[in-house]
Amino acid sequence: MAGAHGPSSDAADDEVTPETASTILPTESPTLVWVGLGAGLLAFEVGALATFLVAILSDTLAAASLPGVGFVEGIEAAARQLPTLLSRETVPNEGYWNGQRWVGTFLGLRPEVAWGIRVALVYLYALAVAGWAVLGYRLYRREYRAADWTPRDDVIDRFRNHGWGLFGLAVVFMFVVMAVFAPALGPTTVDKNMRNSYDNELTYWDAETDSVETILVGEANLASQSRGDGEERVGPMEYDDFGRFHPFGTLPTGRDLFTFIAVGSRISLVIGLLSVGLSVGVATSLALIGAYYKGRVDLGMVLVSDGVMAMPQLLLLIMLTTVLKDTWVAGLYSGAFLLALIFAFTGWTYMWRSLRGPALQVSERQWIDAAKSFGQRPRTIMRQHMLPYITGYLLIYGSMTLGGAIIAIAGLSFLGLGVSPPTPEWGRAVNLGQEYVDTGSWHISLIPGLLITLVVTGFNALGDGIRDAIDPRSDAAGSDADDGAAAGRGGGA
Amino acid sequence: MTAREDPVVSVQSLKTYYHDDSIVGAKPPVRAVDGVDLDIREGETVGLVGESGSGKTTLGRTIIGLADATDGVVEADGQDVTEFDAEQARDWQRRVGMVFQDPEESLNDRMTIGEIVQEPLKAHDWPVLTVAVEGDATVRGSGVRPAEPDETVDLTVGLDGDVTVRDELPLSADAVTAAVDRSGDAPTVDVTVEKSRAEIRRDRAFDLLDRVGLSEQHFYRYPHQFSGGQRQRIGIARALALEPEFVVLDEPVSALDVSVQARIINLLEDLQDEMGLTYLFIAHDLSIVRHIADRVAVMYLGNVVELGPTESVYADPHHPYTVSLLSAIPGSGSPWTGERITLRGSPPNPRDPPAGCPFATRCPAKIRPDDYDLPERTWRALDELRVVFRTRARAEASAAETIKRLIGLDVAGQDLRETVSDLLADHDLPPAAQSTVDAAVELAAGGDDDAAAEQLREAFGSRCDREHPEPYDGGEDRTSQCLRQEAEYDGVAETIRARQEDEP
Repeated sequence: MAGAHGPSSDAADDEVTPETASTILPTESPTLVWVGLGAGLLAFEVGALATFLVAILSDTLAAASLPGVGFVEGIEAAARQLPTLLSRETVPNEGYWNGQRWVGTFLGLRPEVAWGIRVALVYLYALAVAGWAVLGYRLYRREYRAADWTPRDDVIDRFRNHGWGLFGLAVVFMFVVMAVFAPALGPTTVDKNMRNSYDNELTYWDAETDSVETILVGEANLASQSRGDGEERVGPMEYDDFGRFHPFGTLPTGRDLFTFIAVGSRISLVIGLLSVGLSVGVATSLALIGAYYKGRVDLGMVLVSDGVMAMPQLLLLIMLTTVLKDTWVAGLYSGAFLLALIFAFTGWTYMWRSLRGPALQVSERQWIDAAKSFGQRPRTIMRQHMLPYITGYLLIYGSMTLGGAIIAIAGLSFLGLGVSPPTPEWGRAVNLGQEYVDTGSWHISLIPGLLITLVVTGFNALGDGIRDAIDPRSDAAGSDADDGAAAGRGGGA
Repeated sequence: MTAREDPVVSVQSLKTYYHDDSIVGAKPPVRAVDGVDLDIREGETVGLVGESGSGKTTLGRTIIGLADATDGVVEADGQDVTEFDAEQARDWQRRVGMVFQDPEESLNDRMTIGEIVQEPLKAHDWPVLTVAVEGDATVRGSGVRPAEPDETVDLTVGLDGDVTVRDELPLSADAVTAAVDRSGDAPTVDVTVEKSRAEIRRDRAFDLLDRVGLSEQHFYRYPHQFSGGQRQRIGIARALALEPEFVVLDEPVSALDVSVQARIINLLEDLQDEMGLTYLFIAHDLSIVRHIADRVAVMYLGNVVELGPTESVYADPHHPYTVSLLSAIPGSGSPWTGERITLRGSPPNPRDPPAGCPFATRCPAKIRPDDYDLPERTWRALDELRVVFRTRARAEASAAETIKRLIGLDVAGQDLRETVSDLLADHDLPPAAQSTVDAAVELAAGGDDDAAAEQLREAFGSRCDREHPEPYDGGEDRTSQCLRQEAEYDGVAETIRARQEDEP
């Protein structure tokens, strides 16, 4: 077991002998190679990253009205000049047929192929980054970590054998990649296709006149609407009359649905994660504090949460969005940030209620007393001895609430309260397609609907998998998972 | 065991009451510990026995600081533990340890054994690495600090640069370098420890596991992978991690198999010899206590009713409760030669203990008043009748009963009369006694159970019902809280024997 104690001084000496050189990378300096790989991967996206970072900086400066805005704008312009290899400019899919061949598309390929190559490249790139991270972890685990084995390895092994959890991870990964790379994934952009469609022109091959013509995008959209059957629709994987490829078809307004969904995933992700993250944070801290101190502290929390629960969520939402309409909060991310805050404020009570029982239960266990008996600090007791036992519930309620939040935003968009149009949002796509569900334009509601279901299921599955993985008892076939966390499966909100 | 004068812990008239945490309708508190005096001397093992609910665990928890004392003093090093603020309590808890009854419950099964054993060390940022210099010098160095007076010294440095490390610390002297700088007015010693605290803690954990009979390979396992006995060893290792001087063992073996019990007991004894520990050993198994304890304290209803050297108490118990406990030891281990003494009824409600001797309601050697000359079984029937009234007085009344009581109707009078006639059916009471009983029954039927109980106590009670006995000095370092220690009464054992012979 000497290895478990970590490298003693003499072990460090023979680290470079061939036997111990590296079991992962066939080189004597695996870290250098790993860092090199990372730098290479970063180079693909350095332009996008720089633009993003500078944009945050300039937004912050503008919000705080600090000097130096002009200087930062200069950097921003410079950052835009940096090449981004995985961008729509490098692999363009928007071109036109000039009678003999495609003009303007990547290598003169058909737009669908060009677009497919770009999407595939983006996902390959994301996979490569993920693989690079995994490689780094394994490198650390085998060659830098003192211990041969730690319990965390078991957590990862358990997760690796958890099919349902892996499915969830895959779905969540796809979703997050879609959100992060949204501008590069769509066949067109929100700006060109939706926001400023009458400021942009489009070149296309007019079959009737056998010539290349130009038209405003807005006018082209009018002719590519999906509002029923046959000629009145542009379905999934079809071209419209202007040679534009629509992977998911078009909206009733003639806009591209895939672009809409890709960009909309950002809103859903931001609101969902932010609101669930905030309410989980508040609910967990309050549940732990209430369960540890009990008595009046707990009673006070019951009163506060009852008070919050008694407020009608929808009215509060309408009121706050109106009252705060002209403030900077409402301006953040088309109102998405404000929505997330309101969801978190009204949502923590339900989660706290669900966590309070398990927290009170675990606070009665004897190991809490044991920890108190040697003078462990309350905060550590809550974190180390109580939190792990409610994490199972947390993941379940959290992933369920996440789905709820995505659906709630969709519902709000229907009422005209949610994210202000034309910022894309999944729920609005479902609502836009509502009246065409039984026609040939079924795709407008169905595709975003299915995606919402899939993403929500994916988050639930991921939560399930993590919960099982962090429970050291669940590796015994899962049949003896009789402790509190397993009950969460049947718990419901 | 030679008793030293200075106790490690001195408990003085300690009371721990549990109050209901409700804002309205507070019931009287549970008097878990109700006036206990107990000195625990350095290096000894005090066995604390008593039936469940007698308050022995609460006494242990109050000493450790897990329960708040209502009144009284727990003195250690001249300070009152019950008055400590949070930081002082932490400091006190660094110097004491506790092993819990149920090893299935007392280990967090989301943590590995290594984490569990190291947790107390981390909580107190152990090791402190205090440095003392032989001679006059200033100490410098990261991670070390000069030792305060009266503090445990971890590293001793000579002015020639020699380093001595305290034995308990898993740190070799080679890993410490001391550079002595004599250039200034006073010499300066620069101490460098080449082992990180985390490494010292980990080696300490290995060391502890080794001491309790486990091995290093268990370090990364989880509690659920161990048997009960092994888990208790882990609990012991954790309790000893911070090198405590005093350890409370709360029924450490009662949840284990008999075969494992002996091994754990032997381990505890070995550790005590090795590390010079002082134990408060809480148990309900009297044979184990006889084996391990130097002195034994017998608790009943929050009181230590008897206290003394184990052998002496076992050979000649002074308190009737001790006699009855010892008579219950099965097999030949029992020093009591008579019949087994079965105590009547159940212990009184700790919310409402008897006014006199707490054991008076069940005592087999209770002093009887001289007013009447009744057989023992008749006395017991009368005692029982009083318990009935007291229980009725404390019972929650239904709404209907309360209304009946208020307008003076007969409250369950029929049931009560039946109970009374059952109880006293084959006893011959003298006319004076009979009329007292009848009057009390009428009072109770009218709803005033308290008055009925009081009337019976006035008429048939003895000193035992009126007087809470103070600890009597029984010689040989022994005390017992029984009025029969007074010279005018017969001894406990002979009274019980005589009464047993009278019984049909």
